[in-house]
Amino acid sequence: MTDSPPAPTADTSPALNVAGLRKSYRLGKDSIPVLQGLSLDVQPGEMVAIMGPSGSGKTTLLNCIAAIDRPDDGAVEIAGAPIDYRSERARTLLRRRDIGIVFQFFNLIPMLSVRENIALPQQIAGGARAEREARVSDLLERVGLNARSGHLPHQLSGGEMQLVSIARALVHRPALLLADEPTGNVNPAIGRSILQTLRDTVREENTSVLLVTHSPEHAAWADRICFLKEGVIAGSVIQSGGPENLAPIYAELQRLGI
Amino acid sequence: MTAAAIRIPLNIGLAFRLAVRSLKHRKMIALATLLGVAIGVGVVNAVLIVDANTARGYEAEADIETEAAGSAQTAPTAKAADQQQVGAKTFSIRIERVRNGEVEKSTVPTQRGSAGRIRATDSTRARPGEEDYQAMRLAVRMASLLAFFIGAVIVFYTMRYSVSTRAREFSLMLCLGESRRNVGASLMAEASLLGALGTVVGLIAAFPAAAALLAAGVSTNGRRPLPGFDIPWFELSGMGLISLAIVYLGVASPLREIHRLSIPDVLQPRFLSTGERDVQMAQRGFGWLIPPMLAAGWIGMRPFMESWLSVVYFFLFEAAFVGLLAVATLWWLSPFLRGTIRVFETLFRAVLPLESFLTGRRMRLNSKRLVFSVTGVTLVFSLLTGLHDVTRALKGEVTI
Repeated sequence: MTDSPPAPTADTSPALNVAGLRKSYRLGKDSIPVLQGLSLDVQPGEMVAIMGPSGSGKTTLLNCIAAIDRPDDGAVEIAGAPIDYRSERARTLLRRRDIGIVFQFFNLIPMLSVRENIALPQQIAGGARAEREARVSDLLERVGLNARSGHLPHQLSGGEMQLVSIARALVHRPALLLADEPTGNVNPAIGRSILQTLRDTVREENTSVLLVTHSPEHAAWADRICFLKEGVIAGSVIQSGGPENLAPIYAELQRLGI
Repeated sequence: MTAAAIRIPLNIGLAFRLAVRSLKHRKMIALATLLGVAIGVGVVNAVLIVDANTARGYEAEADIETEAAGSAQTAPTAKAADQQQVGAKTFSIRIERVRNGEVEKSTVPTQRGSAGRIRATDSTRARPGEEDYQAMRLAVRMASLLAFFIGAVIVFYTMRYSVSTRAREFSLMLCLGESRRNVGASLMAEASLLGALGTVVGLIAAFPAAAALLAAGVSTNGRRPLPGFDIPWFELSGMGLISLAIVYLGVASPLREIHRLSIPDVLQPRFLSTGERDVQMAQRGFGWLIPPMLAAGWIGMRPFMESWLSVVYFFLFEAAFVGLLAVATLWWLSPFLRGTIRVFETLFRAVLPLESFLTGRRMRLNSKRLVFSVTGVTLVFSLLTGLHDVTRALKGEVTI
């Protein structure tokens, strides 16, 4: 079952627009194409899951969108503004203002407490301290880690670290949140809890989410699921029946042979 | 204004906050760096203080000797000043003053002298063993510089190690929107804190150390030091600045690495490092001939140099040559070490197949670093041994 993505709301440009993205890696004399003209839109407030086999380019796509890797060709726009890959400063400012990243392996700064880790993007961006503190307290409340705010990352469980990571990615109110297998390193129950928190939080913040996952159960939490195969979006599914409705996802996976 | 045109300001406050946090989190590394700086600065400063007090003692003692030999050609009271002619061109002024109830006499060279007041004295004659005393003083100064060098090596290594273990942290900071310049600034802040603290600790430690040495009768030229405690503030300040410069030099390479850091490769490594291939490419050509040719050239020249130069200058030349050879060997030894490791790997494969494969692979991949560490430590100990020999030789000459 392949559906078109939901129509954009009036007077708003897509939170993310990817057009004709190409990327290949060189391994010795060989060039290995990973993305081969990929195009994708994500609307404001929309949560899109990307599924695909290992090595299909899911992480490369996220890296190019986050401007931590440069595509060979194609264009990426965040909230209507094209990314200037040639400028280090432009890429830095993009990550500082418009993008939040959640990694599979949490990647928290070990020497900073939970509160300080969450506050770090705001500290980097600057701004009033009182406002910063209020925002961090609010996020700590939402992810349920108020009691752990003074703890260091190594004192937390995997699920708690991922919740801190999500709070940190949202603290500067980015237009787009990129999550690379955020539930890949925790058990299914914690994974569901993380996804619930992620979805609730981004809904309240009206943040768009691009979620990479291998699990159909986790992809089902998204509004739309895109299937990546051979470097392009080979199909997509609009998720209408909630996280329990897995049949369309499995059907599409079977159709595409993923 | 486009994003590319906006200048990202330097966030010094955040850089220092992160630096302090990092130092608290990595106490052992911070302590090692701090001690490296403190030991280097402390030893050099102690020697400078001892030298400042010894130098005056030597000159005063020399003048007293001259006085005894030359039938009191100098004025017996304090605050008198004479000018002397040394040969036909050089002039010096001899100053006498009272300090702590004792008459101190020192000779200061000048470019011009008053013709009416110039007269030759016995003190202008070369004293027996004077050159050896000066050579010994130079050797002691060199020993202190060697300690400083060891301190610098510790700083270099700890800073490099610290950064290599934090590549992930730096990549993460970049992902969160920090600029490479600001990430570098936090590293510079760490270096500044460690450098400043180490310098102050070294300076403070130098005073009691120097006082103890002087009290024990130790001097830089083998003569008895004068009572009192003069502090060469200008030289100590210079030393402090040099130590800070060394610390900053220690972070120069890590800073360059931060500017080249590939975020995806650190946070989500995909392929094996190409480091080994780069090393292999660097070994191509006839560059491997450089160390053996350098060694052969030196062996040929050594007897001539030994006869031309004094003991100290010969040691200096030899030390410089050993340093040069060590640097060349660093570059040359990696493929040799890799080959040796491969041989051992093959020999042990039958007995310990998995262990020899894994250990061999790891050692071959790290062969350059391994060689650098071993050669660095060997070089320091070679220089220490050489210095010990030259000092012993000089002491023998002075005693004779």
